[in-house]
Amino acid sequence: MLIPHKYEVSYSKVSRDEAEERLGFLLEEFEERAISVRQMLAEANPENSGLPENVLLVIIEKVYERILKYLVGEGIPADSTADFKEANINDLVYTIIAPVIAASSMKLGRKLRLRREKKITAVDGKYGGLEESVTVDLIGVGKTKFIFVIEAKRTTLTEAKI
Amino acid sequence: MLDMGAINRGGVVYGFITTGYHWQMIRYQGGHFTQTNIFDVMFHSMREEEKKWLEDCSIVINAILSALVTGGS
Repeated sequence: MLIPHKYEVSYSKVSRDEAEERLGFLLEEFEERAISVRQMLAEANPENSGLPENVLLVIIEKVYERILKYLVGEGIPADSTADFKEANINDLVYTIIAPVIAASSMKLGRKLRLRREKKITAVDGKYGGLEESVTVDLIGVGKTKFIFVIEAKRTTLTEAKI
Repeated sequence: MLDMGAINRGGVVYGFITTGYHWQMIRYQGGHFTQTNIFDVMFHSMREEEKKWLEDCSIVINAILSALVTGGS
């Protein structure tokens, strides 16, 4: 499938009404419902991570140590700190996900890469934009799959969703 | 996420949104979005309370792993 390289409207310029029209639901209604993380992980198929328990424990310990170092280096994420920016949050995102991607990439048999400021373009070329942190699976030429996207915002999670 | 799912030609795509401290996980699959409750990945006294961090916060790692295993397919 050929994906257009250019888009007409940037995601950052899409109004709430326009977003709701594309999504087919009201964001306010969406905000009223949520499930537990455990429930979402249980619904994933396959359910387990495919990693041996001891490998998982090493990753968890590593992430704990890295968050502690991050807190010493950049401080606790807080709205009230004028110099705390989205770039600081993205550092934290990297702090947490890097060991997970590194340890699991080969074991999962996927060629995982973290892309920064990755351009996404809708298949119809109408909408698009740059996403700060996107994890992709490099399957082959023209066959890259999007796995997950992480959106950071200084203020509220709701703002990050729009 | 809507467009990522279309480019992938279906399957499941995950999103995480975060203020750093607070996180939320979102799934887009089969034309439906589902979000989780908000969870924290840190707290001020986590250096002194590693056990509490393991119990309350380390699930973010399971969440990312789960996304890596099932996302994009």
